[in-house]
Amino acid sequence: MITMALYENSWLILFAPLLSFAVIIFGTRVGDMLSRPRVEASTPHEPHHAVEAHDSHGEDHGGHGEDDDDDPKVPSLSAWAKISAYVSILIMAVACIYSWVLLISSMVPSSPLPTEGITVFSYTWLNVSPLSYTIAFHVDRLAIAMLVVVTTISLLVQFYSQGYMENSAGYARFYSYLSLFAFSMLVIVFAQNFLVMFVGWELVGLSSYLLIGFWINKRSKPEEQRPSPAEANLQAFIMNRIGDVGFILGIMILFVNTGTFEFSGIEQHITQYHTSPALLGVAMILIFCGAVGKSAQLPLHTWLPSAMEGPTPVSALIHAATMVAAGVYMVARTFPLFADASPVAFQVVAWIGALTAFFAATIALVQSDFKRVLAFSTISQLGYMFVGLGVAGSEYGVGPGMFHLFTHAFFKALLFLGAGSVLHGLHHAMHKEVQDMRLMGGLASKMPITAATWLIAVLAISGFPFFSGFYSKEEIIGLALEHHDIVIYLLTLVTAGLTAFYMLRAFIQAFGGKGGKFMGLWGGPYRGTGEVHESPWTMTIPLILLSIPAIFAGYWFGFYSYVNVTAEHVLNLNVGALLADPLTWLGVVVSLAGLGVAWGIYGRVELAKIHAVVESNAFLRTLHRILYNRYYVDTLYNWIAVYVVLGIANLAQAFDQYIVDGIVNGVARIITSAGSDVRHVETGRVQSYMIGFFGGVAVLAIVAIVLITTVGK
Amino acid sequence: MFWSSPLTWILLVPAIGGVVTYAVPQKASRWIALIASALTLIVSLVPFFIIVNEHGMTGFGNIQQLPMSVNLPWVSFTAGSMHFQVRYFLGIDGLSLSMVVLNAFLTMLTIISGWNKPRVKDYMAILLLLEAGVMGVFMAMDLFLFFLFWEVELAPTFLLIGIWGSERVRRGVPGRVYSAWKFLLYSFFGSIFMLIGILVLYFTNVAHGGTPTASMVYFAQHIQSYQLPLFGWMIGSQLLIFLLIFVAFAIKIPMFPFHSWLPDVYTDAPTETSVMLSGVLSKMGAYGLIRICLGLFPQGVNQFSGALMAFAVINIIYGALICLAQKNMKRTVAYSSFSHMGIILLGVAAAAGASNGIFTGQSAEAFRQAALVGAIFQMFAHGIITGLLFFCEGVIYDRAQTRDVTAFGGVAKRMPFLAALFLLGSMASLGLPGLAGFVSEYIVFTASFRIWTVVTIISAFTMILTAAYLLWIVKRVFFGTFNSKWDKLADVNLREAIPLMALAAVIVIVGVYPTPIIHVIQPCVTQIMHTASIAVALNK
Repeated sequence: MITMALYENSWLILFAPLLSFAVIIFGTRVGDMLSRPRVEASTPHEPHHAVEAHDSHGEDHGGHGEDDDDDPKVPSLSAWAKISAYVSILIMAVACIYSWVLLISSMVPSSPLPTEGITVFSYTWLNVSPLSYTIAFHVDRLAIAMLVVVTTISLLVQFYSQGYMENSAGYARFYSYLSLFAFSMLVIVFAQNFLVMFVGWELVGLSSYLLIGFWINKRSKPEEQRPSPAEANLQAFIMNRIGDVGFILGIMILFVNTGTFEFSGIEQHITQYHTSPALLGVAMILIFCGAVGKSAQLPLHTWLPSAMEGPTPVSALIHAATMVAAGVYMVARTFPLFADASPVAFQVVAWIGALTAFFAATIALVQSDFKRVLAFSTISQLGYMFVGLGVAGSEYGVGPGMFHLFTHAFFKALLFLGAGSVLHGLHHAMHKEVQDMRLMGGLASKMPITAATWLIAVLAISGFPFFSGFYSKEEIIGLALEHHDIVIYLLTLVTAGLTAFYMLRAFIQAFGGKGGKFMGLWGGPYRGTGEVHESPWTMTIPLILLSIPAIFAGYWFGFYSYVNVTAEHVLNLNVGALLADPLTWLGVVVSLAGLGVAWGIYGRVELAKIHAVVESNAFLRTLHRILYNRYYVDTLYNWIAVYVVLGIANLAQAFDQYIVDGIVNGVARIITSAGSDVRHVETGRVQSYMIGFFGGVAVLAIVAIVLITTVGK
Repeated sequence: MFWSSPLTWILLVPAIGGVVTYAVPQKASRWIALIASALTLIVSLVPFFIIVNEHGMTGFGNIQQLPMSVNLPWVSFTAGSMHFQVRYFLGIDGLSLSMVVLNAFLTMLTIISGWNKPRVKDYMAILLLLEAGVMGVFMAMDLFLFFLFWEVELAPTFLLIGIWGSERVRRGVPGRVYSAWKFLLYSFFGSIFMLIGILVLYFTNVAHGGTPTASMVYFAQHIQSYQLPLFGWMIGSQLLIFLLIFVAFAIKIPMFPFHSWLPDVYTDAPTETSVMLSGVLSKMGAYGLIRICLGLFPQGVNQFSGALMAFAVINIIYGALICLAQKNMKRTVAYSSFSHMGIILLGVAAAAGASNGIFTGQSAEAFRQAALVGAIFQMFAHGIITGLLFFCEGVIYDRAQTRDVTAFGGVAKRMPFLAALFLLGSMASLGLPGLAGFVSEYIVFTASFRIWTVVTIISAFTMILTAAYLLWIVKRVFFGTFNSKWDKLADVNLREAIPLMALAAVIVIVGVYPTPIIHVIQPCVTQIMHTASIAVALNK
């Protein structure tokens, strides 16, 4: 029997990661949290470490610290560090199992969970009737679907990190941050009102900030256009904050009109009092600004590629599968409000999504950094999700957008973890951090598990028939046409082709190359140095596990009605119609064309030759340069920050110093000098102040007496 | 009556402690000071428990129903037709209590932090006397008594800055001397206006046949509103007296354009004094603004609220912009404190302002109350957050002897604890949820949006600016490429860690569960807003 208690206690999932965070923070020894072991400073010639440090950063140390600042290692992890990881993984496993139980039990038609969900935990900050600032958590089917994604990926990433972060200094700190992130993300998932949503929203920002900057002293690599983690996390936080200002302004508009933060309360108020759709539209577009920041959509997308400076498991968890999808989840959560607003709101969502999808895909075509390709592909796929939400309408509800979020989370996490496996292997082979695909090649024969699972993910993201991405993506492209947005349709369609192209390009550059099997798809010459080995089982098991949903997640055909938490009935994904529609197959053809072109070029031609062709043609060269520099948007933002914002700041500072304070000091000087030689002030400072002091007192006392005597009459 | 009231002891314990600290030998003095400050904290918590015991969690009362007070005659004389009376009248309600506890808590931490100061005996004695003076300000319910304590606090602050301040030469004199005088003259300038204001209030009331008293309780019950002649013009007594008194508060808060003492004084003062200045002394201004200005002159504040709102947004945005241009860590924290005080001003301006016609979905009354709750909460939150930031800055300055942000780089490698705590303080300051600053910022912004829509939209951009300047400092000082010059930098030691950890813990607890503090301050907000709305309605 499924009882209500099962759902009422679901707040346990929320607080489980917070518990592991607390356990690690207060339970481990300080040394396990530090970015480097204490002993290291006194004995820098510890054998294992010294070799790595010397080999990897011998030349660019240039007088800075004597130890390895980029990725400090310890000879072996302490028991406490390991225990903290086990605690974190164990607690997350329990939370994950609980989430799956919730999912399966709530799919049963007889489940007692009402469609609109139940509130599981709440307390009030401030109650000024009729306003109330309440922290409340809520669970419904939409939340459960997201819960499963978050806890599953968190668990796999935490498991995987045992291998990837092996012997890292600050291993326990890493797990405490991961737990903090999981908690913050679950706050968003469980949010019942905008206050809680905003709380979670900012907290994931914090965890993201901490995790991007995990390697606190790592240097920037200007030759690869890579910032230092310290720059990247600053950029990420501020970019997100820009979106958040819009978010909070939108919340405030809703709040002053309805007097509540609750999603359901706002919805009720709007239908009851017929709030103007135009005003609601403005509010929802402002709220969408928050999603634009968090989900790295145009024009606030530049932080996500920089965020790749964090450890790769972090990129998989936060910057691909979960946190960046929070924007999508938030729009889905507030879907009824968007639906009541002026249609412009949904159009903005769809257009931003479509433009971003296309824009990011074009940049991804030419990137040579392994993780950066994935970053731009994430931005692009998030664009698809917004298109899905924007064009679905009340007929489909949040289904199409959320479905792509659901499938994408698995295959994108797989892509990132696979990339992490590659980088881990290369780091061991070359004793330095290598992310440039030009130094890879032919890795499939050396890392077969990584390569095979990666290929599955590539096919899934490309929308290859019968993989998970096929069902979620083709549906969105089809809906765009159904919605009569020809331009959006064309943008998403072309993007599908571009996606297939750049993903297979990345695969072949890393794992294949001319001379490999299957026309260069598998294996081939390796362009780096050293011996590469397959990663340890702690890393390959999550890859294998993730490749299962990467294929089969798309077969949950009842997803649309499952995540629909409104009273209205929605259509489900109609597989028969999808497969019978020739336009679906047009999309497949476009994707296959993308795959084919990539295979044809990168499997058959050597990389250097391709490069030479591009360089010899003026048009291709210019195009390549523009795309490679990401349309110079970063440069523009940098310019604005340095010259405009700091310029205004310096003006304000000068105004304060010379005008405001200048007047005050000037007045003081006039009073104190009163005819005497100003140069004397230096020695007579105190006396002259005293004169001014008592002079002022006398003047004011006279004023006071005048006032008081006139008052009496 | 005098001796039996806990309120008297809140005043006396630090004062006596200060004297004893000064009298005993150097070695014992620190411990005496620490014990005295700890006792003060305990004594200041006594009213809290008594009130909770007698009236429950929501019974913290207001100025008209003081849950705890002591009221004795003190000075009384008649000169001609004028009867002059000052009473020893102390009282505590939620607003006072939160500030009293904040003062006791921060003072204790400053004593721990200043353990190794030169001339430590004098230093601690003066700190305790400062605490006693400030306690008086927060508890006095007689305007003359209030003024007395307001002036008493000047002398210790002057000495603290003038003796232990920075030696860096500024305009031909050591910075400590320059800043001490600047602070004193500025404050005194404001005090004069306040005294005039109080005298005008007292005598107008008497002239119109009122009771000869300076009791705030009396004036809160009998809102005065007359037309007064001023150099031939007629002006409402509410606005005139409010403005006169407010000058002193505006300087103390500080509010633009009366803030130019702040960067110099905060920077030149020793760490502990900076903590007290930003954490407690600035709250005296905010306290006065709410208790006296809003409580006694609601019509005046209402008439002035448009200007107040403008000054608030200037404080917030202008202060944050200046922070971006700073290279001196302490000056940044100082301007950041200035910027965040603007949120209190915004909350008060919203509480006092007329509602606009942009959004009419909900009545404005509840939003006003919420804004004021947010403003008072910000007083508490700001005190602990800026305290933490100043303490952290003090620790790093003690070791590095520089405040230049650009001189550092990656020192989190050597000072991970300090980096974590500074980051926590920065996050709290920039309004990260779960930490104290968020509660007040969120409540003030969402509530004042109903009253001052455009201004609140502008103010909301402080979210970006604050994050930018604080995290930029964090990045330049603590993260990034390690500057090997700082290889020998030691992390926080245990004694330094106590104040930091204590503040960090309070920031987190209050940020996660602000309900108790809100319960403490809410009754007095309800009363202030109730009185104000009646008075403003009468005026129209």
